[in-house]
Amino acid sequence: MQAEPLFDFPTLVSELNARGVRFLLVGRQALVLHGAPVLSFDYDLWVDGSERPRILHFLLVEKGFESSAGLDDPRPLISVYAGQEKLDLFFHRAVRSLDGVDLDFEATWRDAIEIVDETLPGFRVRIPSLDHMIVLKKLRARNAKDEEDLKYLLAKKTHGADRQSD
Amino acid sequence: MTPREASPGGFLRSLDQLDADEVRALRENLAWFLRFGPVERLRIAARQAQVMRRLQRAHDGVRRAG
Repeated sequence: MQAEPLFDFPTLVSELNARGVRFLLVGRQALVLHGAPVLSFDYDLWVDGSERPRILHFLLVEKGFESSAGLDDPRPLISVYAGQEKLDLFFHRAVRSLDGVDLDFEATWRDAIEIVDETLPGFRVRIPSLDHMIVLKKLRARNAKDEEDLKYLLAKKTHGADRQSD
Repeated sequence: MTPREASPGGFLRSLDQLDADEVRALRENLAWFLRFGPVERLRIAARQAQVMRRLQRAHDGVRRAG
């Protein structure tokens, strides 16, 4: 079996930080950093809209990742592929949950939790707060994964960070 | 049953469907996972996804061959 191309997301995070790109890690990978051992097949990044040219140039030109979108693509969601790995870039200024809660990038950024890990130089990433994670889980009709994620988030919000492992 | 069908909620089935042994295993797994820092957690999650993709491809290959 052929090995999959080398891709290390934490290293990519450090590289984005070195370029000053302002983004939030959202979706299931953010849930992983909230402590849930869940499985995810892609990476969801909510990117400050003003960073679009910079992040697309970095990923598509400098890193050579693939995308059906070009550098000037104006769509709010762009998927980028690094071998088997998929990065979904969201450039929305704001979102609204199915139950009518509005959330904009700036508020989510402001209340986000910054995760730092000194084992990898330059690694720091912001993930939405628990409350904002819960809103973001309600943007679409929920599937089985979303339901489990929501259960975890609500349990963590109710019982605190370490109660899950009691 | 495909690997994804076996684990619609990630690598776990619905929490409501777990028996006592599975709940204990889940707690041990979670305690193990929480020992790691952020970078390792992301790498563990990536390796799990890689394994699941390989299992899915192998399953698809067997189904085509069959």
